[in-house]
Amino acid sequence: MDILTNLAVAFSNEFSSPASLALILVGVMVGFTFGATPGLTATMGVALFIPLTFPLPADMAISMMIALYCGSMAGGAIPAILINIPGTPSAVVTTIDGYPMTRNGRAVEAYGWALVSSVVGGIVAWLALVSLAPALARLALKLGSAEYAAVAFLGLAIISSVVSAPLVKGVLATVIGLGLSVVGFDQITGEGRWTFDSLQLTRGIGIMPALIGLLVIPELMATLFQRDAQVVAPRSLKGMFPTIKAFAGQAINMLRSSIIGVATGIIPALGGSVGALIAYDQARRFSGNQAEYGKGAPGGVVASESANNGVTGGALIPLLTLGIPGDTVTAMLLGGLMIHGLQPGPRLFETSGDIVWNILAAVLLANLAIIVVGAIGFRFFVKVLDVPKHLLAPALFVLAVVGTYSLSNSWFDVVIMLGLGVFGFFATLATIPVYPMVIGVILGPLLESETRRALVISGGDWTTFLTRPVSAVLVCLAIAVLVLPSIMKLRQMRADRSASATDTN
Amino acid sequence: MFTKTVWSVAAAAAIATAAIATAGAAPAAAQDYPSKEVRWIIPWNAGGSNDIMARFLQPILAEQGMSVVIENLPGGTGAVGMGEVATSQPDGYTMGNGTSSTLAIIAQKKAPLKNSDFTNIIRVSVDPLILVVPGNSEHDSLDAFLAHMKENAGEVSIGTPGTNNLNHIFAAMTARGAGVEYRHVPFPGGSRVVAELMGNQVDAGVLKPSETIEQIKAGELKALGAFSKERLDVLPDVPTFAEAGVDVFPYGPVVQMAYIQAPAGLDPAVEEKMADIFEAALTSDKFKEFAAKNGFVIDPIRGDELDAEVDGVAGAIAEVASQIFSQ
Repeated sequence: MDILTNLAVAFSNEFSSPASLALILVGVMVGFTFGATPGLTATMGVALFIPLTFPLPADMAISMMIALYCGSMAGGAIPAILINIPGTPSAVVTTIDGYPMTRNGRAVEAYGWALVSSVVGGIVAWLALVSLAPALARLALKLGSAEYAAVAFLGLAIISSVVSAPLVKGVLATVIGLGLSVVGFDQITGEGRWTFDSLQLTRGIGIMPALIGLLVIPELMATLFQRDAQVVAPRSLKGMFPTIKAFAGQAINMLRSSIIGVATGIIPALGGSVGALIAYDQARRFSGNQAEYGKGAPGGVVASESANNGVTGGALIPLLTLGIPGDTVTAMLLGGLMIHGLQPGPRLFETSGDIVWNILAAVLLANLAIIVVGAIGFRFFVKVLDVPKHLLAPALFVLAVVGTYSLSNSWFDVVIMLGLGVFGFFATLATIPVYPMVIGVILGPLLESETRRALVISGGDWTTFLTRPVSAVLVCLAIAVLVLPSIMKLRQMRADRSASATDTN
Repeated sequence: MFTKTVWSVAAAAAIATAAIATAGAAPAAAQDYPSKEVRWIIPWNAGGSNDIMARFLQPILAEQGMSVVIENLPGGTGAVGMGEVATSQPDGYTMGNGTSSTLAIIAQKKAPLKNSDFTNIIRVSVDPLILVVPGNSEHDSLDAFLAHMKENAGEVSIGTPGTNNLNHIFAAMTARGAGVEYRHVPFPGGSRVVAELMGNQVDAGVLKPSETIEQIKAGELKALGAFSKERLDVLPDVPTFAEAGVDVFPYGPVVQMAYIQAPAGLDPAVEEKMADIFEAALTSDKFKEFAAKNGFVIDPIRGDELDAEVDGVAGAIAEVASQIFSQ
């Protein structure tokens, strides 16, 4: 009952202070903008806001930054759905079905699903945060390098198999991504690899330059060769929100994906894209019509977006209960807490309980604000479809260059981004999918360094991946993801052959 | 309450606008330094300890008349950002955070930079390092832990944030104290090491008090020994390694520190002015309170004293690295 009393007090605090409600709204709006713009990240948003929130009371300041974080995750879906360009790494999976829906004239519907799923993901994560946070955070600590490596392996197996290309090309693309991720400082030994004595290359190939280069540039180049492909903007926003019946049809998917998102969010260092990938794979597996996935299935958007926002809330769990940030945004938030005089750690609830409960109340309000900001904002966002492609493409190109430069104020990143862009364009001409390359760049360092860490800890014993139960299950799942479709196909072919053999008799 | 907050928001907005509006070129002369914004390069990710400290100092420096723009240029253990500092104009309008970590890779010749590329301005902080074990570890003292290392030669794991840095050196020195091999596990960042310790994934870790103090107070972690000459103010009950009879400085003193660096060839008068502004900010009550809360030490040495300290630490690191890491 303690929880309810604390929450009741916190909510009444929030509602009696119009300023804090307004700040949450502003945070979500800024977050949407940062999330929707490839090249502007939630981390940068929070970094910019820390000095601006100095004069504010701690709870308001932190609430505003968390609202920005939540908003950015939801905002990433907008360009993913409308123009096939994910605004954040986590939204990569959203494009797989979101953009085909737009091409089929279902942009409004796709966005409605994204919005509803985001909010559901956020609320599920919030419930976990207020009710089970300490227990969940402790559970996550039981996982170590072996499990991290296994999760990364599973994510890579999934992306190789879900893209609408033959498995061989999917695997090829993933391996190219893994290859790119090897460039730079070796995390374990500290030696440079493939750096050619260039200081710039020691930084490696960043996730955002790779994402923008491999996904945005080929898309822009492709539009130069398409004369017909103007997607007509929907005239009305009717049917944005799913009917009760349609919602009920996706409810299980939404809940499952949210829980997967929360679970991956709690584990430090995994990041949003793995959660979205696993959720997507599960949604596809359990849906009646697997063939529709990748061609514009609402279920795909639902899975990706509820998982993404589950991750956000999940990542707050170890931050607030143990003082352990899971990603760069939560690390920034940790800094924000410290600057505002709080001491994040296992005793945060004891020492600053009232402030923390106000922050928790704000997390829920931020998620509710997402639906308001998203629904109103979409009227404007959707106009991007009205812009003729020959005008939109150069504008987006400028944005891609400026966004990439601003990530670490580096022209070198821009060169990498453009180089990968041209490479990605030729890859798409050869029908080699580019998504697995991006996921390879994101998960490659995780797979490699965690595998090697697990081996150092186990003294070089590879069986550690199979004797630790969670890791064993994940590894088996990954192998199943890669091998099962081929076996099924083989069986089908045999069945066909024997069927045709009996026919001739 | 409401109007007060509104004013605070308005003030924040005004500061932001002013910060954007004042960007512009002006001639650099020592007497009117600083006449424009100073670029402060943090060669680490946003959210790291250097970044947090810089963002905390930003408004305090502004009170001293220096408005700074913080730029995060991470990569290469700080070498990328400090490379940018080294190649900037030595006019006092570009500075960066040098740290022992970057110093270590420069000393090991793993980065194309030299200490003579920089003017050392002032030391911002000194972070002691400590050996920590999980709260439920069976070892309550440094002696017990070292004995455990001896019994399980080569099987005890020690986690550190990063590799080839001071944390790594002290992990190696711990094993040297026990006289055995150990398993060194480098993680990306101190918070990850804390998580691994709390989950009993590694046996021990070498971390700063500022990264662990809350977990130690909550009993989630135990501090066994301090890699310092004297006991630490934040953890007065934790003995030094010397008290347990282990010499962790066999090649000279090495400390984890952060200091402000500008490009080489800076006008000494400007250097003096920069150091004065920083000294005032670093010794302000606000910053002192922040340091005490987060367990780091303010020791703002400057000028020749700082140069000597930097050279000493670099020399010791180069020596240790050639003895310890090259095996």
